[in-house]
Amino acid sequence: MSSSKVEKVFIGGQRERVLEEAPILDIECDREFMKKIIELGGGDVQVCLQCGNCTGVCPVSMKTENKVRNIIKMCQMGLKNKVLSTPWVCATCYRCFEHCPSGMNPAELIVALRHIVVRELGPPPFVVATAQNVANLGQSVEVSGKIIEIRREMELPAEPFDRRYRDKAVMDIRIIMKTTSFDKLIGINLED
Amino acid sequence: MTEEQEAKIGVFVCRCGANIGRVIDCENLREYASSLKDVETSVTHDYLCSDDGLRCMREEISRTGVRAIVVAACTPRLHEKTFRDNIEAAGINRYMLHLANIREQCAWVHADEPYRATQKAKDLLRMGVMKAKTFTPAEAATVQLNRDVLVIGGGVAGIEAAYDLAELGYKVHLVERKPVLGGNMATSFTCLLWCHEVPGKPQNISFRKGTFPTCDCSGCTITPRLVELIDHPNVNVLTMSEVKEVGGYVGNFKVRVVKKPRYVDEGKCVGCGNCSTACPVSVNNEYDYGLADRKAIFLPYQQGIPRKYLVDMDSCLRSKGAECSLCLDSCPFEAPNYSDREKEINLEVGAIIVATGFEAYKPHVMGYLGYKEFPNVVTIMELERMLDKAGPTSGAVVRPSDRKVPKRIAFIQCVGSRNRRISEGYCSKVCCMYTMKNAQAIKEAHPEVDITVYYIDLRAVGKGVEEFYHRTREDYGVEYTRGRPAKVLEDKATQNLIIRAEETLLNKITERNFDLVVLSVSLVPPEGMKELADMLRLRQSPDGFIQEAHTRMKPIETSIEGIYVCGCAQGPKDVPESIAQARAAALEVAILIGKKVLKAESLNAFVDQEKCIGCGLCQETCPYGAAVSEKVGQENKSRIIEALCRGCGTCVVACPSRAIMSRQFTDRQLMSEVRAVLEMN
Repeated sequence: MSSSKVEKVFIGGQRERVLEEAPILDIECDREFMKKIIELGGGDVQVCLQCGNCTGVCPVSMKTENKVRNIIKMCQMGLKNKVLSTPWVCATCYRCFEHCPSGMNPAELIVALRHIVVRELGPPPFVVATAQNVANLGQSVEVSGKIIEIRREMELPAEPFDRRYRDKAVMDIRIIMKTTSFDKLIGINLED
Repeated sequence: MTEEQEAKIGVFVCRCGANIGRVIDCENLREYASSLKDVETSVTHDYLCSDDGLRCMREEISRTGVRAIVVAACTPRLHEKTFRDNIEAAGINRYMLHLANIREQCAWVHADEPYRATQKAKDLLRMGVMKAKTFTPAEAATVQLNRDVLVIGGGVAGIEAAYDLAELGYKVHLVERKPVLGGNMATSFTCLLWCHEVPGKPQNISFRKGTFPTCDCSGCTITPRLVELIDHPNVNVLTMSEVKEVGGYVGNFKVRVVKKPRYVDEGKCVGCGNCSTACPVSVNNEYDYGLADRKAIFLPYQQGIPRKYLVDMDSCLRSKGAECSLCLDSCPFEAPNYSDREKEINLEVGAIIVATGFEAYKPHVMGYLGYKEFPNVVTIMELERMLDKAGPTSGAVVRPSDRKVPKRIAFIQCVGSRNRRISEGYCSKVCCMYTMKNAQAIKEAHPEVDITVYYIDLRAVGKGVEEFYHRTREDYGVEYTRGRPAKVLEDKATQNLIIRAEETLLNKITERNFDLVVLSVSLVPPEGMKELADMLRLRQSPDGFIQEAHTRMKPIETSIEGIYVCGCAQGPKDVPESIAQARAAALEVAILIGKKVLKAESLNAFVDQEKCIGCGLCQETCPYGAAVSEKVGQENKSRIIEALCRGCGTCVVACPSRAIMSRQFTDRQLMSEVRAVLEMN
C-alpha cells in the first residue's frame, strides 16, 4: 500500500503531482477479516451490491474520500490494513441502514470496524480524552473556561448538574468501566 | 405375496458409474444380499437405468421367476417409474418393487467413510428385502379425463396457450378479470416510428442497423392473435370474470366462475362508440393511469379486444338516481342493458393453466422517490401509455404537470426489484430491456431529449440483447450512470426534479436536474394471487409467484397434477419466454387429457371403512382435498379419491381410529423394515 508522490510531466507540458499507486495484491486480502466483522456485530458485508444508495444518503459522504460504500468494498475484499489505516468518518446516523436495499447495516459495520481499530491499533487520542471525561465527570465534555463564562452570562448555576446525584452516578459508571475492562481497553485511569 | 414362504426376491445393485461404486463395495453388497433369506438372485450393474441394465433386469427376472424386486440404486424420485415400467414389461406387477436409496443416502452423504457407508447400504437393503416380502400386487387407479381446459388469465401467455389448445381441438374456457384481453402486453403499446408512418418523422436519426425484434410494436403483434382467438369456435372467452371456487382433481376439476356485469350486451355491441359520444359523464381513466379522461360507458383502450363497451356503474348517472339513458338511446342496436347482473358460470374441465401474469409494482411506499408526491415522477407503465399512438397523449412523451415535452429524462432502475426490504429481493429480469426500448422510443419521438439511466447492474442477456444495449448507447446516445438514487427532490418553481445519487464509478455524489423521472418498476404477483393459489392448492415461491414442480426439470408443472403454470404467473419473464412457456403448457395439457384415461400411481392412502368412525379429521388435514365423506348405510365414512391422493401420509397420522393406511407404507410393511434394521448388524 505504499504510495509516494512523484513529479511527472504530462503531455501539454503541465507539471502535476501524481500518485504512484501499487496494485493490490492477494497477500493484502485477509479472508478471515469478514468473520471478525460478523463476530463484532458488523453483519455480512457480502450482501452489499455496491449500488451506492448508502453513500447518496450519507450526511458526511462529501467530507471524506473513502465513502461508506468504499469501506464496504474494502471489507468484502478483506483489505484489513487498508481499511484500518485510511481516514473515514461516520456520524452513525443510520440513514444508510434505512435505505439499504440489500438489508445491510453499514453503520453497524462502521461500529464493528471501530472495535477492531481500538483493539488492534489503540484508540485515537480524542476517544481517550472523551472516555476520561466520562470516567471523571459522568459526561463527555468538561464544563470549564468558556462554558462557565457563558453559563454565568445566562444566569445559570456554575455546574449543570446536582452534585448529590452526580457523584453516585460517576461511581456507577466507574464500576461498569472496571468490570467490563473498558478502562484497560481505552487506556484511561480510574484511580484519581 | 401374502404368504412369506412364497417370496422369491431378486436384488439388483447399481454402481451408478462411480457415483455409488467409488464409495460402496457393490460386490460385497451383492454377496450380502444373496446370503439373505428368500433372495433368489442378486446382480450388480454399472448403470441399471440404461437400456442394457434394464434388459439385464428383465432377463434375470424371466430366468429366475422372482416375484418381487429390490433395487439398490438412487432416489425413487429419479427412476422409480423407470424400474416399475421395466418389471411390468418383465411380467411382474409394477408395485412389487422396492428402491433402496444407496446413492443419496449412502454414497453421497458418507463419501469419506466407505466402510460404514457399505454397512448402511446393507441395512437399507435388508430392510428393503423384508419389506418386499410383504408386497401384494396392486392395480393403478384409473381416472376418466374431461377434455375441456380452463385457462386463467388472458394476457399473452394465456391467449397463446388457449389458442394452441383450441387449434388442437380442445374446448378452452379463457377467464380474464379485465374487460379486455391482452393483459400487460396490450397496454404497452410502444410503437416505434418505423411501425407507424407519422408525418414529420425526424431525419437526424439514421436507421443504420435496421429494426430490432424487441422493438416490434406490441399492439401490432398481439392484436391479430386476439382476433383469431376471440372468433375461434373452440374458445369460450369470459371477460370481467374471476375464478371463485375450484374443486375436484386431475381430469375432473369443477370450477365456479363469477362474471361481473358489463351492462352492455356483448352480442349486440359492435363497438361503434355512439354511446360514448353521447355519455355526459367524464371521469379519470384508470386504464391510462389518470393521463386522460373517459366516459362512464367506454372502451379501456382503443385497440382493446373484445371491442365491446362497458358501463362503469360507479360513475354512471343512473347509480346516482338519475334517469339518464343517453347511451341506450344513441345505440343503434340497443346494446346497453342496465339490468345486467352478476352471473355465475360452472365449468367442468380436465386441466387448468394458470397464466395470471404480473402487476407493475406501485412505488407509493418508496416516499423518497417522490412518486405520487411530485407530478413529474411517473412509472414505466404510464410512460408506455404515453408512447401509445392511440393512447392519451397520442404518442408524445409529456410532463404530467404542464403537458410539455421534457428536455431531460431520467430512468431509475430496480424500483421494487433487488430490494430485500420490500420483497425477497428478486430481479425482475425485463426492466433493463424495457428501459432500453423506451429510451429508444423516446429518442425516436423526441430526438432532442437527453436521457440518463441510473442503474446498479445491467442485465442485458439473451439473444441480440447486448447488441440492443450497444445501440441504445451508441446510436441513441443514452447515458448510463451507475448508482442507486438516494433521493428525488422537486424544484417547486419549475416542478423539475433533482436526483441525488452517487456515481459509483467516479466515487462522487451527483445532483442532477431532470424534467421527467421514470421509475422502472418491478414485476410483482398480481392482486389476488394468494387467494388463487390457495383456491388451487398451489404453492407460492417466496417472491409470491407460483412455485413450479421442479425449477429445472418441471418448469411448467405445479405441485398439483393437472394444473400448469406459464408466463409471468411463474415469475418475471419477457414476451418470447412467456409464449414459449405457454405453448409448452398447452402441449403438457394436450399430452395429459389427450390420453382420455389416466393411470394414477398407487402410492395413495386407503380407508378401512370397518374401522372408520366418520370423524372427518382426514378431510380437514388432507392438503389435496382427496379425503371425502360418503354415506355407507346410515353412517358417514371417509373415502380417499385415489387420483387426487399424493401419498403424503398426513391423514394416516391424523386418523384417530387407525383406519387409514398408505399403500407401500402399511403398518405391517413399516414394522417389517424396523424389525429388519434391528435384527442384526
